[in-house]
Amino acid sequence: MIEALLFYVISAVLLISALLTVSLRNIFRAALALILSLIAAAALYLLLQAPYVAAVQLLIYVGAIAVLILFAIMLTEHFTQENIRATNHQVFSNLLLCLILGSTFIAILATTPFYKGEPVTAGLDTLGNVLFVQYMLPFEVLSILLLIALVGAIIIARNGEKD
Amino acid sequence: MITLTHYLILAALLFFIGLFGALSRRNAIAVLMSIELMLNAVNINLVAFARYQSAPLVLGQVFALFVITVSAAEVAVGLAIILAIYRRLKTVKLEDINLMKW
Repeated sequence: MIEALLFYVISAVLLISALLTVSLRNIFRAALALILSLIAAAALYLLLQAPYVAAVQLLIYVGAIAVLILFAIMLTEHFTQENIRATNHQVFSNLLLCLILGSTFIAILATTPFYKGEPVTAGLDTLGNVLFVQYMLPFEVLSILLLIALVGAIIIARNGEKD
Repeated sequence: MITLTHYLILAALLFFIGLFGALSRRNAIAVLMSIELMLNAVNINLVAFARYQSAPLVLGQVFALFVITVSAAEVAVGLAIILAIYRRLKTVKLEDINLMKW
């Protein structure tokens, strides 16, 4: 009962802030709406008994990625109060496509017999065991990927003067 | 009673909102933000499937952690590219970045 109420409230916040993200004209406010939707997704992970994923979502997505997006917005603001349209000239065909495709997907999901039993909860030690023992090699490769991506980003965004 | 189908329909709605934003927005950074919405929808799917099982399974959560980290790398590189483009062309509107169009 409480879980159903929490689920509907959190999903309402998530979907409304997602709609604000894709439709707000002011890009800074769209980034703030994105932050709200990321926090709602973290609350959803807590509801799904995944506290570590919720913590990583708050740390990485809200704390690093959203702040990076805000920095990029502030660095690329040419006309501060420019009041142009948010969407391009393809907005109606895109809306039609997303409505048709989305309703097809949701109809398929609603009529597929998924697992209907009691949900189970896996402990945090199981997650640690799987991540650091069974999938240790992808974990290390992921850290190398982060290093390469950040070095590449610094090189691309560096100022062009040779010193 | 919240079943798996509730979470999957929520994730599908979020995915298509993000898809609409990625296709329709004129600002390049707004397209990146919509891609983040799509990746969040995928993560909700993965964690929901990890929970609604008959035996405890954390592989969905591990996959979601990997998706979060890879998306961090992707956003860093994407924003660096947008910054380089802005420095050269003085705009981030996608319709004005047309140097490689015929």
